[in-house]
Amino acid sequence: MTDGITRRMVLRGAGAAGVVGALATRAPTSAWAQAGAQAPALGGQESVQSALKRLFGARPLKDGAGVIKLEAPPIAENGALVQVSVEAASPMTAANHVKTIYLVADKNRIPVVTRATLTPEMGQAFVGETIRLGETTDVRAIVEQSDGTLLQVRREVKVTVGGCGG
Amino acid sequence: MDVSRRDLLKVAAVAAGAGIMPRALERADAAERLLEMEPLGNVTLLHLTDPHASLVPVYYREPDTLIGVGAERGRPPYLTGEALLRHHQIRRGSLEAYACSSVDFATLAARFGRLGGYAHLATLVARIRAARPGRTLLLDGGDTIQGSATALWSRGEDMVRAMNLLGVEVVTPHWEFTYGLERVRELFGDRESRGLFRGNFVAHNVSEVGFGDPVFAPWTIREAGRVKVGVIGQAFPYVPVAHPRRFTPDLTFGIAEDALQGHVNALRDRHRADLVVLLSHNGLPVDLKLAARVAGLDVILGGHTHDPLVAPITVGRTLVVNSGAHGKFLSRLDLDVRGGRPVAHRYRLIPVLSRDLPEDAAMARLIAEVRAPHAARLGEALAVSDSLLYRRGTFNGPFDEVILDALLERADAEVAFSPGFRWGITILPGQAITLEDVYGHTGITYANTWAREMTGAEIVRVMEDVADNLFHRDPYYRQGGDMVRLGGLTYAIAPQRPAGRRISEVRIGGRPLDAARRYKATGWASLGEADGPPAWDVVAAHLRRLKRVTLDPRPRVRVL
Repeated sequence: MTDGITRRMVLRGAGAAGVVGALATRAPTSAWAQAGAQAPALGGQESVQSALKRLFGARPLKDGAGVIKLEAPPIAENGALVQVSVEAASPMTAANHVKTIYLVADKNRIPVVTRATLTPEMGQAFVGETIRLGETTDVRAIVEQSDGTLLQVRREVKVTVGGCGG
Repeated sequence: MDVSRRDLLKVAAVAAGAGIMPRALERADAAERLLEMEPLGNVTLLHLTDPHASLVPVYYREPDTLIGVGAERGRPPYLTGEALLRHHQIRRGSLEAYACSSVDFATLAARFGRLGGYAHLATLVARIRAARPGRTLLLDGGDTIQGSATALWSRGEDMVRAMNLLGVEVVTPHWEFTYGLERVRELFGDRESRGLFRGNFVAHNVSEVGFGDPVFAPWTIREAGRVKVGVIGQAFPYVPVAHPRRFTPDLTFGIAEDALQGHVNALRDRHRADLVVLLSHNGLPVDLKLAARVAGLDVILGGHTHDPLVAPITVGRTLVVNSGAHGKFLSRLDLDVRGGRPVAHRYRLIPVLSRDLPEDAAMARLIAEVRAPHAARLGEALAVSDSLLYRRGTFNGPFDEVILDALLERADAEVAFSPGFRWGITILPGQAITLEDVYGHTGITYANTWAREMTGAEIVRVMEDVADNLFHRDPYYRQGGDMVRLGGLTYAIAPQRPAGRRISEVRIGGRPLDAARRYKATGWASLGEADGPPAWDVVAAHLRRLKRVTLDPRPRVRVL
């Protein structure tokens, strides 16, 4: 990398932050603060249930099949680099648009992988990115519409030790 | 052949009139019946798949156990043994029963002989081409250049020469990639250049990591019987997780349904194909699911799972064919294509009966030339087997037990792992096991053995992981193949249960597994680096010491 920061250095830094974070029990980052309640500190751990509760409280997550297209490989070629995309059908007008797209990997140490804020000016509700999965897990796409409706779809992504039969 | 089918029938009639129907005559008549087919329509698709470099005829016993999950249970291809014979109304003891099932295998193998072999296959192909001039198309589903010593030593070249001589017109890959991408390019070419292979190598679902540029031609259009046939190639979707990543470091695969639908539409709408065929290495369960989700495929010619489908399975308007493995079968699908779609079809899974099909002279010469330099080495008889030895089946076969014994002994280990490959030839009782046979079970480009400590928990995790690759309810989550073979260990498995909860009652050395204990483990065909001697050396040394192999049944797995 041009700025001289290697992945290893970042990971080392994250490890150190994890220790600090564990000591300072309430240290929300600004991005997470927007989401509502407390986010886990860097290097921490959170269950998907508590993450969803923290983000959405008791609001219902409706079935988003037919509205949300979540693309993810059934079997990841490399768990460290899994390409995932979310597309939601939406007119993207001021009155009716997708406000937020979340990507959640249930079994990741920190399950909420992405929170993308969208505006009508973007013209489409689409997020594509490469995520990291430590083990086989359901990946969910949760879409928050401008009227506050929450929709979700999920797909299993398998992270396997591999090997072949055929 | 000099004797026509009609001649044989005449002789048979006379013999029957005289009250005699000698077995030899009955047999010859049965053979002719299997090799012949009343032609239909304007196109004949000929399909072979997964020959695994079986240049010469082989014994290859079909599985006696194949466990399907959910709705798959009890239906083809998850039918074996007598249930399979009953389902297809195949008479026990017949040639068909020998070719398609495990029933009475050793007896019938002695009666009917080996199947396959490229010289015999070439004669069969030539016969059909002569009967259907200008109307045939010969397609190969891949796993063609791996599985023998000569294929390994020539890095696939011997098989590509045989493919050229046979006149294979289209092929799609899987194990081909275990020679590395550069070798695949040399042998088969890519989008820009041609390789040694004279036909078309198609694989729409192989692209470069990053920008996703396709590496190979996705499809080809061939003409047969004045019908424009579009053939799309579907490579095995999980090459990067099934084999060491070093062979395909910059490639990404996948089932790629959307891309496939795009190619089907382009072939139909832009290129005016009359018939659209998917030449697939997905495996049969994946193809059955895919056929219901991708519109406009007339035919799927499939492989990978080695299922010899006696009859095609129809999904909507798609005919799904699977043609077995090891060169045992040639599928013949006659189609009457009118107005851009097939209106009638006739199918036969033809066993390549080496005793009834004389060798094609040119192919026999090529095979002799390929094998001559290695004849002495390949022919070394290492041991004689008193038992029937095979690999194919959901769980350990007796040939796996031989490999596992060899691994355990060399590493002085408590547990041994060997992959559940679906290829690997069969040895009849009384037959000598040659070095060539050992390569027929171990001949891969990552055959090194390994030995290390593993905790009980780690061992179970590997077992659960492989079980899920086999028994996941959704076929798109399976990689094909069979359960990992285990030595030194017994267990129970509940295939219908969810991931992580299938394996129980694991015992190592007769004692219940301790999740925290460290066990000495060994294996081969690791996806990582391994520095032990290659499996063929370990197995050959073991057999030389044994001299005789007698394997009593080992009840290793309890299916719940």
